[in-house]
Amino acid sequence: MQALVSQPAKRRSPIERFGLWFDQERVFGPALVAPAILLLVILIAYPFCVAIYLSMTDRVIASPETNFIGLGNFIDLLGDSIFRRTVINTFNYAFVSVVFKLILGMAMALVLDQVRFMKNFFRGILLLPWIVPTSLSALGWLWMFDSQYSIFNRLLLDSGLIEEKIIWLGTPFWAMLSVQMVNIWRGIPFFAIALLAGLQTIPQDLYEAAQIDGAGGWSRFWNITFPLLMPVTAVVTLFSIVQTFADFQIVFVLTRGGPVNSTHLFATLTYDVAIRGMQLGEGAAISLWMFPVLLIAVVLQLRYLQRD
Amino acid sequence: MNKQRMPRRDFLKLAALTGTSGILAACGVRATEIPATEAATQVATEAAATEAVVEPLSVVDKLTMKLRAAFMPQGNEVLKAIIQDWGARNNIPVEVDIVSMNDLQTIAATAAETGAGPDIIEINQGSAHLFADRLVDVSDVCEDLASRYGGYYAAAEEACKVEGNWLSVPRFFAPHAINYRKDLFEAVGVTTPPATWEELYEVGKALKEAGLAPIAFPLGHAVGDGNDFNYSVLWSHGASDVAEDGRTVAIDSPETRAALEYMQRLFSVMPADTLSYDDAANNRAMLAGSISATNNAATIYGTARNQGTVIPGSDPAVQMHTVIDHSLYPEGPAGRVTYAEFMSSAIFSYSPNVDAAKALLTYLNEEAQLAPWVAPNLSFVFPALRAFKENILMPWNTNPKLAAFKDYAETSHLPGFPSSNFRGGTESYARWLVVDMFASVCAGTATIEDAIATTKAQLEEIYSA
Amino acid sequence: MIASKRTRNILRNTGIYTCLAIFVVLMLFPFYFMFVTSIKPDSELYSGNCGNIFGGIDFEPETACQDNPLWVRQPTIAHYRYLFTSTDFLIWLKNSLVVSVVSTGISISIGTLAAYSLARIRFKGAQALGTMIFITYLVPTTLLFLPMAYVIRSLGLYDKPITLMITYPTFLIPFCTWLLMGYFRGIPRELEECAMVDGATRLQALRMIILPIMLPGIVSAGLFAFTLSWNEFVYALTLVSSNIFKTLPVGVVSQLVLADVYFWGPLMAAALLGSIPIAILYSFFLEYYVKGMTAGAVKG
Repeated sequence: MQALVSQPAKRRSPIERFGLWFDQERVFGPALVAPAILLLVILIAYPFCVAIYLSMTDRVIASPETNFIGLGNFIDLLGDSIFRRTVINTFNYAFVSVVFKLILGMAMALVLDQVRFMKNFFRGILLLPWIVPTSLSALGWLWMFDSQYSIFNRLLLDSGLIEEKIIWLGTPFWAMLSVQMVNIWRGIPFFAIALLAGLQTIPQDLYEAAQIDGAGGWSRFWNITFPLLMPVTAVVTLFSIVQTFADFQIVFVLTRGGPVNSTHLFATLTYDVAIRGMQLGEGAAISLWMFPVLLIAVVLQLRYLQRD
Repeated sequence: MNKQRMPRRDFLKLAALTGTSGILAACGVRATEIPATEAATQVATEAAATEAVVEPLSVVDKLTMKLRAAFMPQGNEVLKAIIQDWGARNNIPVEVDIVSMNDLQTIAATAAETGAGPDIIEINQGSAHLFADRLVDVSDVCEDLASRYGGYYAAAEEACKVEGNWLSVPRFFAPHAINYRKDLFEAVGVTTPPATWEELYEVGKALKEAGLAPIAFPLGHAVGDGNDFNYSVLWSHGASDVAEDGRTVAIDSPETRAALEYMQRLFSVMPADTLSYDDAANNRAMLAGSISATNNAATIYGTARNQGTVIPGSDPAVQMHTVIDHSLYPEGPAGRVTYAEFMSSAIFSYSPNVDAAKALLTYLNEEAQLAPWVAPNLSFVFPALRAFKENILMPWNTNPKLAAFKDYAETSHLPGFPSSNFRGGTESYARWLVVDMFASVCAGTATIEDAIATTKAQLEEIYSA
Repeated sequence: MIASKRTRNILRNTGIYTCLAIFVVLMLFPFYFMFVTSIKPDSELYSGNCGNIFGGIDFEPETACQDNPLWVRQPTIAHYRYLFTSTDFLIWLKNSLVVSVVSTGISISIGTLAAYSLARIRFKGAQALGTMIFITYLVPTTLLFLPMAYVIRSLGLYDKPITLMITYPTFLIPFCTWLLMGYFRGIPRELEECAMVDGATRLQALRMIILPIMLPGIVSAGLFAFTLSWNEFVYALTLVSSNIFKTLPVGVVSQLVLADVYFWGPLMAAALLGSIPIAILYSFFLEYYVKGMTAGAVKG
């Protein structure tokens, strides 16, 4: 499309000429994106390159020298039992949490879809765990898991369901379960809302037709709802995988990676090693190990989104 | 040296009027230090004369310092007031930020890394070794204070003296002791606190068998209590992570095995959640009446007193602080060796205000300023200068319950002990290698042999690299 | 047995609302418990366990057994008072507000321009740039915080008031751009073409025609940006260390513990108060939030 209606030829001031030049698509377009790209290059691309550089050195905070050691850090990490434990922890944490978030989120979406009375109100309050700052709600969970005063222990013991109190954050098994629980609690609303929106785009007549054909509730779900929700589910699940894999706050507030490193994730281990242990090179290498999984997830997400 | 600076004219007038002893007195030198002989007097006069050449202290912009938050808010307030008062009298703007220990470590590391930050930062343990080439030599301040106040404890030198030079001004220990419930110990027939680790185990066993609140010592990543307990057990069994030469990893020894085996036995009479104890967990447990003994500073006693904590289920209600007492750490086969939780004040070399910083640090460690700050802190801070141990104003001398904290500093050492490689020791401490070794054996995630082997490999990376 | 339609309906509704009730309890119980803790005096909080919750706890305030964790006998505002007078809570609150507002402002401005350009202007490399912006999801803040701290320190920007205000936009802009691109695509192209035929420059068309229509989208993106900013933790933890510059989440988590003593009452009070601004914002603008969350997912 032509940029301007042609004007009678006359001498144009520099400002006008600039304005004309600027208005062309091939100038205007990039110009508008430029600030974003600039910021992202300086504060994402550049630090990322720094991370790669650091990971190949043995840099320690405040040490007088830095030596280039190639892939030394990455190889050493593979032999480090704490790191190997962290890898297992992170996959465990991400997989279990996402699966439960999906199932329970779907359940919540299905329920909300059927609610008529004060629907918006319920939809609103059920979203709270997602909206509220994670670190602050994690503090609340820390109190609820407290080894002395845990409300869960109190309820379980008093009702006779268990005999001896559970040390939620103190035993390796329960600690991982606890942080997964908090992650699931926080993430259910996100899945629920997205899936609910998806549900609401499915035409009612499809269900009615199926019902006439004699399909039961469960069959309707598997044959209509689930397939049609696939696009939404895929996007949301991939997004959640990336987030959960890179999670930090919940573990940091509840266990700091303990007990005995049984809840360390890539991000929390990086923090421990690099900031508290002052090993910058090793820390950078740990965080970069996250990258391959994230790459796969994001590429998949991109493919899915660019499909339509 | 910090003396009230006098303008030169006045000094000379005073000298003319009062003679030598008057001058020396005006400069703050005590009468007993005035030399007896004439020659000495002459030298002293000349020395005093040159020293009185005047420059009021000055700073660029202001003097900034970051200090560790102590337990009692009053203690922190008093310290701030003392510092601001000094600032006002010397016409120097001072900015003091009192922060938690975690933050302090990050601040120090960042300052060392970037070459910019506060003038004075309180650093912990052997950080002076790690930041050696970023710190100002403060030997003049330290030697002055040491000569006036009876010298420093061994751990202070371990922490602050790097290759013969003082790189940080020793400040205080955060002393620990065994905190225990006198009433519960008496209920199992123990009237004197356990003198050895074995005796402690026996008491723990008795308590568990009697169904009373068990003893509980931290095996988790508790920066203060966890390190304190585990290193103390290790060293008092004659074991250590590094040999005296500072390079050979010595963790693989019969003494280490003895210590690990002991810890396993002790764990069998402790609650399982000690594996996840942070610094606050044992406080909470003891205050709730769920455990009967642990290692800690005086903060449990202090909180019980301040909050009026009552022994749960007691009728009539009994105040918990009346039944809490403190005892020295038990001895092991190698005697009593304890871990030092230690803070010192470092001046960073990027600072443009070194003279003012030195003056302030000297001032703060003098008796007139130290006593009012230590007193409200309930033994949470224990000065690094020996002379203050017997000072009658100190809490451990005024309150018999706090007496056990008095001798803590004497037997304390920094990670890296018994070598002088405190740089390696601090790295090993930062990575929790000793604590994790004990914890993994107690948690059952490693056998004694495996734990030693793993720890040895990790230590070798640090010490033998 | 063939139940009547009405009975089936009642059963069905009972089922649905029971499930709803369960979800409500699961999602909201933590907040309730935090609230009760924040108004409970220390003597009730730490009195130890006595009595059985299900076996009928006596509610008399005078008896020795003080304990019921789910209820409070003598509510107090002491913890809130402590929070305001003896901690830097208000300073952290102010910091969070300022940082969030400024970061949101920057991100929305830059993001709107970028989104408009990528969504509606044809120029070489638009597709690639769009993908590039999206790719920044590959480097979440928890991966980048370490080199970011390093870069920030070497630029001399560590522990300053503007530190977070310039680093937060790095994760806000990609999200805002993506969200707004979706909204922009929904506006017919003819609009600015008409404006330009009438003699407006592109900028003028953008400013005077498009933006007003985009307002709901911009509000949505702005709310999200504000929320993400407010909740951000790891950059605030590692790039700032002075008490007076900390944001609320980091201040509460790192400073409300004095030596080795946790003050649970004030901690819970702080956690709740720190969540309130977001909760309020969100209750007024719920529709925008929901649209924002579903925009990417549903429209694809």
